[in-house]
Amino acid sequence: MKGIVFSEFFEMVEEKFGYEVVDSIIEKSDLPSGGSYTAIGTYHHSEIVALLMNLSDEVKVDPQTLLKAFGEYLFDTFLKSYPQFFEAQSSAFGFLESIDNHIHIEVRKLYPEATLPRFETKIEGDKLTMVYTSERKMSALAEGLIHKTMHHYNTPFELKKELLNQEGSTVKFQITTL
Amino acid sequence: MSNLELLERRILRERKARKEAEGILEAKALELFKANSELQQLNNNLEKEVNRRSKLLKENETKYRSVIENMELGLLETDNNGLILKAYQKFNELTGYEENELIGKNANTTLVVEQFIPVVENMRGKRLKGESGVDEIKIRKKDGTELWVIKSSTPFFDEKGNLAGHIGIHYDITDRKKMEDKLRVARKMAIEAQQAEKQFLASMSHEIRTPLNAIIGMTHLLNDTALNHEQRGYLDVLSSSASILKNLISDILDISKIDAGSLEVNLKTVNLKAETFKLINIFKAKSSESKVDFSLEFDDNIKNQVFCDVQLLNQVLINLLGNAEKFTQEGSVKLKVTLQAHDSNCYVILFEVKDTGIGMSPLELEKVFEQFTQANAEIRRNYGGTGLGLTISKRLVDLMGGYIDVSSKQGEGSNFYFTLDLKFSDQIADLDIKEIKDIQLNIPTTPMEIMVVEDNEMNIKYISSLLKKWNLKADISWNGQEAIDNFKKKHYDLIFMDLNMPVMDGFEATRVLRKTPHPNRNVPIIALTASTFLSKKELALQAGMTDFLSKPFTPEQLAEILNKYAPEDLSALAEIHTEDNLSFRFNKKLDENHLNLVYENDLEHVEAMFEVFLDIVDEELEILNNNAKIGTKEEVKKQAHKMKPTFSMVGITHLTKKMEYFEDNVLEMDSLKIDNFVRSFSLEMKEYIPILQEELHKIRVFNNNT
Repeated sequence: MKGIVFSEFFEMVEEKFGYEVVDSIIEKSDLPSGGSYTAIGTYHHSEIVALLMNLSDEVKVDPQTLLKAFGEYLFDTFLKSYPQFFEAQSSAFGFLESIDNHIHIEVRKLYPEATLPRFETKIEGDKLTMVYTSERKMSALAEGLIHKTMHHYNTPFELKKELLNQEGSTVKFQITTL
Repeated sequence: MSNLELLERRILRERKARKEAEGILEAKALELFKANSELQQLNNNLEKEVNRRSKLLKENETKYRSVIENMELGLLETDNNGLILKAYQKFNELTGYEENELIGKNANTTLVVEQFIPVVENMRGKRLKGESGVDEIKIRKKDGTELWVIKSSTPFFDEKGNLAGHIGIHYDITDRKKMEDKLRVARKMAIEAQQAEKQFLASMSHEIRTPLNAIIGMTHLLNDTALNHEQRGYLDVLSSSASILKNLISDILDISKIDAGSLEVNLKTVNLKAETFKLINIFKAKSSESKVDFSLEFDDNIKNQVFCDVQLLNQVLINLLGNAEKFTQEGSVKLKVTLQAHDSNCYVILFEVKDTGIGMSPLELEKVFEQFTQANAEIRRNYGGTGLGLTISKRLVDLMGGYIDVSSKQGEGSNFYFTLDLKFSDQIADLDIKEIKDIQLNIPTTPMEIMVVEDNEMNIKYISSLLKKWNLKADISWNGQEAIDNFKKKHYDLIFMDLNMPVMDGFEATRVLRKTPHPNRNVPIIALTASTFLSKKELALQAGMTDFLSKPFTPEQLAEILNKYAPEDLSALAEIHTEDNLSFRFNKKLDENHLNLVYENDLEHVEAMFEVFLDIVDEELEILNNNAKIGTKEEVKKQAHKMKPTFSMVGITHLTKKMEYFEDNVLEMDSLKIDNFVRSFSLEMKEYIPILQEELHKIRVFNNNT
């Protein structure tokens, strides 16, 4: 998992709950990296899972809610760091489609070792179907990102989420514009 | 937990992260440096390659440019509007312009001679469609003189691939054109000269033949007078020299006729076995004193009569046999006729003339069919001849659609052979030896009434002396008008008619005679013609003549004509009667079965019917003819009905059938068809008249004898 996820995660936790909570979840989780991350490094994804579970314990909020909130937080970071990807698309659906078709292809060029989720998309009229597939099972993060994307493009919408398997490695999102 | 501790841990973590980041960055920087060096290396290589290729390209361009510049090709670049962009050095040399005088000018209007502008425009149109081509056009030099050039042109494109203009390539062919013109003129002159030569040869030969005829004729006659030994010796030389001269002239005339294409193949049904048998017998008789043995080997599988121009075939065979005899002083000459193959209507027949003579060397073999070529001077001295015989033979065989060749071994003999594809008729060719002997009979023994119409005293003397020698008498008419006058005075069996005469020529006289209502009107008229051209003979036949005899003719040729047209020999008939007293044999051209059926051998009845028929037939045909021209169809039908049965009564049953058909259908025919039918029917009928007259004569003789 890319270091930026960890550093942004800590940014968010510190912002919402203070650095004490950050310190606490680092101390509680037994982390091979020792809890120090750099945005350009790569770390084992079990570390974020451990940090997320301990945060949930600490602040008594369920992990999926936390993860979705993190997705929304992460969107702003992406928008700030990589505005060109957003400028390239004039609609929300266009942008969502470009994740798999374009953005992830560019990411792989820069970080060949990165493991990225797949987003298969299909547009039918005012409805976009998006199937998330990843062994990381972090579809809530994706959900947060989708929410913020729709808001970014000022597009009123309705989102339905459907787990296509029990463990949540394949999830279908249906986004209908209103 | 104190804030200080928290802060310390945070700082510791941040420091660690920074170090880590620095490590990663350093590694990335190194990576980047390496990649950069690699990229630089690649760029260098690429640049070197580009340089190398550019150099190569430039070298090639220089090379090809110098090739083109040195190739005497004038290059001219024009833009899409036909305006000149660049004129190359060679082009300027070609046209006498400086480059700056041409740039910006319209290439076509400045350079191309007006009449060739459409050619150039057309070429441009084709080129834009992607077709390439080369044209020969004329361009005008600065000084106004015109040049013939070969022009080809190719489009060129700018960096974006758009058509930018054309490069025209010009090659000066003025000299070649001049040469072509000279050649054309020379060729035309040569052909005309050749034509004139042929014409000269043909007319000279003809002019020589006429007096030669008199010389040969006179030597024949002189031979029959009382001569002493010395005189006879002179006469022999005279006679053989004249013969050689005549052969030479004939050969030359033959060649010129063949060259002029005026010789035609006339196919007739021929009994090949009888013809070849006859031919070999002539050679046997001629060579009875020499030591050459002639023989014929005839393939009995050739059962039917064939369609063949027997005159041409004989000429070839006589040539080959004569040749074989000449080069075989002692030994044998064999004529071999073999059936090689056949289908349902055609034989492929191989004719071979094999001798055991001196043969030929391979070198001589090669030239044997060439004109005026004899093996060598020695041969010419020893054997004589014109060297035309084999050339003529080859051309004649070619004309008949065959192919002649020869195999030979020096000292062992030669074999000349050719094959002909001959259609065969359904008639079986019986070899009747008696018939052959008859053909060889020289002079008819029947008395004949003959008229000779001729204005040349020498020719009259020649022909009448010959006839006198054979106990035949001839009345002489000096021109056509006299002939018509004499014609009415008595019965004639045969008329010899010269063509060109004063007062009235032979054509006109014949036309008049054929129209004169007189028993003589159907008498055979033989044209005496010195012209060997077909057209004259055709005219003679059209005028109504029966046959022709070419001057100069030999006694044999005259005798042959006499035999052909002599009335039936009475003594011969008597012979037939002693052999077969019971029945009269009708001419094969008549329907014997029908006649026997109708008359049951009552020949007096037959005689009466033939007389009546011959009496009325002309008149009846005349009526039919008139009805067809000016009468109604019903009248034509009525006349046809009336005439219909009369033909079968004299044995021409198929004409009765024809008339029956005509009668049945005439009402549906248009006037053109009716006219055609009547005309062809009349012609066919008239061909039967001499046969019927001859038959009537025979029947009378038969009836008188029994």
